[in-house]
Amino acid sequence: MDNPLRSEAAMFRVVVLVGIAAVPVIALGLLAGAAWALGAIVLELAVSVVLLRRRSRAAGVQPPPPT
Amino acid sequence: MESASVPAGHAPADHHHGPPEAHQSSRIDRATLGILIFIVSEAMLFGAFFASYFFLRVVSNEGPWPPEGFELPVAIAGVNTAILVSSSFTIHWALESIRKGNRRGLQLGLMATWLLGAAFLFIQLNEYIHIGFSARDGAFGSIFYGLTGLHGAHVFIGLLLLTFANLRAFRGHFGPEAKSHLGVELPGIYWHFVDVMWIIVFTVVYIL
Repeated sequence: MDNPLRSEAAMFRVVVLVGIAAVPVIALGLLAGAAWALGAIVLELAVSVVLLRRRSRAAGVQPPPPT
Repeated sequence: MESASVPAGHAPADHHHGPPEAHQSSRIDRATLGILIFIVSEAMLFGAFFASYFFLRVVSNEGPWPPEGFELPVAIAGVNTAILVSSSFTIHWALESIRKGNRRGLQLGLMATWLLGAAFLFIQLNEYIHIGFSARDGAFGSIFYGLTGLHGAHVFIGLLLLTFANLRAFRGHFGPEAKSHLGVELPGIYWHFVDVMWIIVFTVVYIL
């Protein structure tokens, strides 16, 4: 996985991603209650871990760049 | 680096003065590495405050959270969240503009980001004035002001960085090459970090 702190564009993608992830959490928290919002956070974190794991496995081990 | 390899008695081609430049990794720029380490340390600082927040919430399990008598202005904070998140878009636009050589876009984007950040800070200070409790009013008051105040301080620092970036942009200091707009890129990374932190603070403190 690339380091998102390396460039502004990568960090901007993190803002958009976190913002999109926060929308259902905030909506559920306001409409249904804090417990539902917490459930949404746990679900999103679980999905994120699974996706990252799949992505890292698909990428495999990259050779180091030439120095 | 060139000056270190030039034989004695010969002037270097670029007339470099002072000590030779330090060695650095070819994979990451020194300034970017500096802001990276700084942001990681800041994330740990926020982590400590969040740990305090959840600790207080868990140990004070005698009633609702926030406790009776504490009303948080969720709607105003939500508008403030939208303002701060939109400032991430404006600074990104500013950087995309200068990457394409559009100096006017850079200036407008930076100015808009500064104004949105200042609006956020103004609304937060106004919220503090009218919220009806202080940092002395129990554990919730302390941690509320601690977390939101810590974030507010970061917004203030970000505004200072943006002020310098604005001044330099209006003096025509930045260019389309990656090295020539590092003075906007690094405050941009910091600003996005501050935005991400606010989304988390808002969700945890006002929603959960």
